Amino acid sequence: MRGFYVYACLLVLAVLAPLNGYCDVKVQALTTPKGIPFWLVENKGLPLVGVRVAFRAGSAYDPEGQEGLSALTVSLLNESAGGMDAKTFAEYVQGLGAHLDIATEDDIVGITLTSLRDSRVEAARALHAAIVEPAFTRDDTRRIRDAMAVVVRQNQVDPAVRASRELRKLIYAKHPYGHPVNGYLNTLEKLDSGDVRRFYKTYYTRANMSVSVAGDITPEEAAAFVDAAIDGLPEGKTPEDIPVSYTPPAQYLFVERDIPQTHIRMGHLGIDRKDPDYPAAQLLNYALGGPGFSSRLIKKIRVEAGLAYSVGSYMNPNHVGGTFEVYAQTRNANAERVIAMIKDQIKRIRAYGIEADEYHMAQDYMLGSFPRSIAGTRDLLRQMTIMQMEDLGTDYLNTWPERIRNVTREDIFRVANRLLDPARLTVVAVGGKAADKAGDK
Amino acid sequence: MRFYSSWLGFLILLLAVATPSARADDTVGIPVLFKLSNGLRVVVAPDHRAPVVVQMVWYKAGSIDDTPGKTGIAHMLEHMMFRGTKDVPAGQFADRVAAMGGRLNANTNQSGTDYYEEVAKQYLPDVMKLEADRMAGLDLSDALFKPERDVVMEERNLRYDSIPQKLFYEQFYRRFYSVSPQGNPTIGWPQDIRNFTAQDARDWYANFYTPNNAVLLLAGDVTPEEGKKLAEKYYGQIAPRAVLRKPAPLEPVRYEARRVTVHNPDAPTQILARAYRGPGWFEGIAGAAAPVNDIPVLVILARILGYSQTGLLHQELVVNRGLADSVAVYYDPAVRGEVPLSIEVLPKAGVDMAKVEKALDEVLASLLTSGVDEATVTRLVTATKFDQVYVRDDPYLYAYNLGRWLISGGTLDAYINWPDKLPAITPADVLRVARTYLRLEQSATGYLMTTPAPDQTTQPDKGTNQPKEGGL
Repeated sequence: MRGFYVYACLLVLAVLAPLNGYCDVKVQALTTPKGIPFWLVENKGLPLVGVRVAFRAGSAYDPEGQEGLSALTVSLLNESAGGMDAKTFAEYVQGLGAHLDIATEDDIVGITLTSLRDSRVEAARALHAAIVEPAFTRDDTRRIRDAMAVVVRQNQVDPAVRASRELRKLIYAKHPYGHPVNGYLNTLEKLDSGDVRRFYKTYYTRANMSVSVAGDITPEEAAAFVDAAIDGLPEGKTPEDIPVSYTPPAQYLFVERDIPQTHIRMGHLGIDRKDPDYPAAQLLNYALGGPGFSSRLIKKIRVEAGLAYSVGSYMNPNHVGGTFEVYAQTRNANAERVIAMIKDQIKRIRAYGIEADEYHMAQDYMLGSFPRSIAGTRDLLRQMTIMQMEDLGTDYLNTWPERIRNVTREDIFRVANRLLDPARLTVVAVGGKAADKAGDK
Repeated sequence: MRFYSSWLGFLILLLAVATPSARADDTVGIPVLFKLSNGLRVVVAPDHRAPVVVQMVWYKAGSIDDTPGKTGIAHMLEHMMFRGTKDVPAGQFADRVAAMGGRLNANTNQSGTDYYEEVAKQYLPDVMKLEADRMAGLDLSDALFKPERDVVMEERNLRYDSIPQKLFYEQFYRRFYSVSPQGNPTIGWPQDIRNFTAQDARDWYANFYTPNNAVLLLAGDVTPEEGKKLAEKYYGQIAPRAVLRKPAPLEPVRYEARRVTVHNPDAPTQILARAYRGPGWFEGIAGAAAPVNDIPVLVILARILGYSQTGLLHQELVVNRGLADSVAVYYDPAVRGEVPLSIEVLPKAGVDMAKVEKALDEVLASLLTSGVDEATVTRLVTATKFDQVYVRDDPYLYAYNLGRWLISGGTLDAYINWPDKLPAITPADVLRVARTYLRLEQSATGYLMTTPAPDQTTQPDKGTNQPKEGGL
């Protein structure tokens, strides 16, 4: 789903299009008659409405030994609820032509309902059932827990996922960001509906919630929708942040698997969205390992040396303590060389910064890709959730292009030295035997 | 699995209140199809809600056109399309789109091969120029071809050979079809990929990559007038060529329930697979005429069996009997050739596969005896119809679905109108169609076992999956 822009933005576009190619999305911060704050983007064109309710209740809040509890809890909202068993509830949503989806991340969980404009009143009832009246039956809990265990088992087989998991575990040491959202087999099997109810009661509260609405709906209609959907949810309180206070030294982990390709993941702690250097960090990352064929890692390792099918890097922001990560896949025999080349490129970008043409390409990319990143109802709702949860302000999207333009090459040079540190890079390699010596260098 | 439906009714309502000339009101418009003099069909689907456009080109050259010994050549050509032309040297295509902040990719599947770029509106002429350039002037020299063939082998290693589920399905579908190329993996069998020559690619490109064998779709912030002008400018000069298409061998009618068992201790879960032969929108089973009245009913039947938590098989096998962790059912008829209705059950660890299969057959038998109730049919008809609004909300998805429909033999009108048949479907229709198609002698049943093979000779070679879609 893409594209929710208010009428006014087309007028703005008419004036700015030759220069910018982005468009001002108008985000309104409103409050319902019952006192629930929510954000709205009005958008006509298709008779659709999307609503996303998010709670700061992601896997970072899983108690130790109960990894997977956050994901289990949010998954159960889409089961027996509102006095209906799981089947009846799903039939109710289907009969409206609506969709109720849940998403689980490190920091937050999101419940998204998309509906036809005309059935929004019935759809609000479905959202209320999921968020305020979930049943958490013992049977549902057992069934969803087993389904999660299947995903955990599948992920263990996938070498790319395995490498990524191991890296996070090492980078975050004891911090809960270090464990997978679906938990582990031995923690999942112990979770029961009592655990779920306790978790739900603690975190699914108004004080810990953000509500975003987008689509063919007026502010009054949206407010009525939100009041109907959230009615009765207790006020509660906002949980404390869990600071990432410990910076582990560089580590190396090799996981032997009988496969022809080695999956490499390297990284260390990174940057958060709220940080004033975040735009500069994104430009830096584009030049180093961004998408396309123009980044330094792609040019040196794939195009010139022909060593890897894929290689790149990203800045992964979190509520507290994001990461900088590099990924590569290569034949087992080349793993050692690829790791050394990646470290070398990081050293160079720290020592010399980036060239003028790289700087312009990075800015062009960031400005050109910007409309895509908020172009669908779901994309837009996700952005609105982050903006609310991270306290970035309703004009964050509008000022983003300007912040990208204001970054100088000197800023990027400074940020490269602030953020990147080859000596602190932790390396994980999952692959065949020849890759084993990779970390010795 | 994607379903299509008409949301034309909504559009007519929208247009009724819009000023005909005022673009800002007419934010999502009816798609328009026209043909250039060189035979290129062009569709413009306006959606002015965001300043973003998707350009997609479909070529009617898919894995169903792969010839014996050359499986995977359609997908191989997809890779070569990124290797350069006289005007855009090797590697620069993706580089230039990335510099615009665009997203691009390509897919090969049974019906055809598609290429797309999603960019901010002002870059549309640039990506059209790039895409038109490689429709005519691709560099397929030996020097470029050989390294890319290695890349495709690496892709097999990376994305197929290490995944037990994919290896299983490759074996399963090769057995499901005796002679049809639909039983081959889209990426190709390893021995065929190794033996590709640059001449194979040149022959393929010369035959199929011509405007009269393609459909161009522009979905997003572009008007039909703009789209037509740009299409004429960039694609209008490309000369058409006659296409030689050898008909794919047709899978004969059969009266034999087939079985495939693969043992792989690396598999994370057991899989019970069941596929029944079924008709596509444009071709019936074994080359028969497509039974177009059955197809919407089959779409609903597949949803009755397997749509989310409400599916009959999920309810019985997962919820009531506790034999499985999940069930999925697929039926996607908008392709060239016939298409299976397929069921995938992930049995619980340690549960005997034969027991799960018996339960599956009991549930199906009871459906075939007692049928389904009216409320179920009505609910799934509603959900299926409304899903089309969600598809239109995503220009990429809309271009993909419509492009595949057109390249496979459908018309724009039929794409827009077929869901109007949905509300007339009755429980009696469902029962009749279920009895016609859910027949064991038309099926194959597959077991992926997590136990070691009792006899080593039955272990499959490491091959590749039966990928329905092969990405770049």
